[in-house]
Amino acid sequence: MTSQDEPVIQTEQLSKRFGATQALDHVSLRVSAGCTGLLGPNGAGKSTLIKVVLGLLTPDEGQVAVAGHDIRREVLVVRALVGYMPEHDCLPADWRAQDFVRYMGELHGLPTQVAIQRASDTLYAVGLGEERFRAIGGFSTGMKQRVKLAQALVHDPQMVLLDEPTNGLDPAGRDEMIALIGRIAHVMGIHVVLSSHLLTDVERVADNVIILNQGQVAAQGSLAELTTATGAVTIRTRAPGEALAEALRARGYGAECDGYEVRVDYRSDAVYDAIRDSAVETDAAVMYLKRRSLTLEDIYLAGQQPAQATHAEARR
Amino acid sequence: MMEHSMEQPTGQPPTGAGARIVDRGYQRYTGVRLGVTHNVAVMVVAGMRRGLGLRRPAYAKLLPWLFISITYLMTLVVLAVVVLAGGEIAGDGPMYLRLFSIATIFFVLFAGLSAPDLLCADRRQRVLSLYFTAPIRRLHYVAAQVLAQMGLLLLLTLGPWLLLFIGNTLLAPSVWGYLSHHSNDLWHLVVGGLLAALYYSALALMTAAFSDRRPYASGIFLGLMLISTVVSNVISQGMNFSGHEWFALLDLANLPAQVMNWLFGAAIAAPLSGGYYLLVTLGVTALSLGVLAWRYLRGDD
Repeated sequence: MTSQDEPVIQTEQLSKRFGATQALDHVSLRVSAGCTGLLGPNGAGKSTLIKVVLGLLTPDEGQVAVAGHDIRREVLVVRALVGYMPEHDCLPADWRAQDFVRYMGELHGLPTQVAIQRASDTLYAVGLGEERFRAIGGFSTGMKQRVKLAQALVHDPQMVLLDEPTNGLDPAGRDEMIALIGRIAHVMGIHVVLSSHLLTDVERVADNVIILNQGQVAAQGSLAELTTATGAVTIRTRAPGEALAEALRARGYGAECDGYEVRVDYRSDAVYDAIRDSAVETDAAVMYLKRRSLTLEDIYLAGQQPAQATHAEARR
Repeated sequence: MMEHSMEQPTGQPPTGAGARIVDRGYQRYTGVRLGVTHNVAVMVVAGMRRGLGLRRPAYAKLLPWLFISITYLMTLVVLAVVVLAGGEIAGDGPMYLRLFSIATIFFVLFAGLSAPDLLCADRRQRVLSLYFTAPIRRLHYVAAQVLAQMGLLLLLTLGPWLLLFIGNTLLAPSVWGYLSHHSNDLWHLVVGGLLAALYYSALALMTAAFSDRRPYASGIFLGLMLISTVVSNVISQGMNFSGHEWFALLDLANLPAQVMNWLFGAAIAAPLSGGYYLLVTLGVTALSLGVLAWRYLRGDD
């Protein structure tokens, strides 16, 4: 197992082009232990990144290391350490779930008897008990998603790459799948990369977030840091607050006034001193003051529109 | 995931104090992980099971086992004739050749049926995207499918003839006498059977690699066999221009049977010789394997 400090995945200046499309553009990122949400709109480069990490695509330039193993030189070692759950349908309809998961275990190097035992255990763990002896073709979407998850886990990987695991699930199924992913990351101790466009899913389980946009990293870091280290402070004043906003701007803070409400960027607790001093200076009576952390949605939207990021933050 | 178990065994009935609850659940695995050879072997076994229809619905078992049964039945009928003939019938070599030539139609049908079973479903159901994330390379997958298809075809191209050889040996008036006179037959049968299995496997898998639908893939292969045989026979036997005999080499369905003829020393019409048939058979096999590998190395599935 990798230590907590060692990156699970690390890329340096990773690029991949398909014809005229630059799918990955000098991507340097670091996936830490735990659960990492990989966010981005369609075409952001998420799937390309996953395929490069799995050695299914060769990057045009740059380096990728998974648990310290270079993907170009040690691709089979990396694949033995990784489990993959694709977004699309990929299950053989006429196989029994038990047989297919066992087969995937054997294909990852497990001896037959071990694979049989682990297939049963893993299918139980994902919530498929007696159903495991039925043909996959007769399964519901939710059950198929569980089989896909089980085959990714059966060989006890260090890390699983989950591509849109809640796709096609009803709300209850989504809840169960997200809870299951949380258990994989935080109880089973398997690092998870959760690629999704559903921010709420990622927000519920992810410790870290990487946001891709147009093949580039728009933001990355721990969810806690990203949402608390940035944000805005909302101030309500007794009189129109334009003078207060002007005084804050003079002190180097982004500030925006909307009648009796002033929103000022939060970068550190020093902003409170600036607000106090500005209020004294402009003789503003502060009636209300509250700091608002950014949500993942704020960070995501800022990542999609870098030019408007500061503006979006300032409006809070 | 909670599993109840008892302390075992003490020779005494378990008591309440000895009972414990085991939460087996998902366990980490620290045991041995086998290498690529094991992984390929797993794919070969799975492919052969699939081709035979094992753990699949009854309809998937019907045709493979029908063709297998027919070839073995032919062998058993011949052995019964040997018994009735008092232990030996004249000209074992020609007997093997006649049977091999008759059985060729079943080799072709079986290959056309089983090769799409091995490849088409994996592509159509997009399972390859999972297989190729396992510690194998694309060529390992291709090699495993070729070996699985060969294993299946050997049940027809080698099994019955070995059975026939063993039967002839045991039914002969003198076992050692038969073996000393017919030892060459054995290796001819083995070489011919292996070559036929490899040839039909390569050709059938190559054609199956270009369609996701089993019926189409079977149709393409069987059509290719039929058309090549008809064209070859019409030109080589029905026409009279200079060099028309060489078109016999285009009879893709019967090339292995011609090589078997050559191995057993049967006459081959001039200007052709067994060496030419062997060369074309090996060439077609190599070309088919090359195209098959190229198809999967492209990586667009």
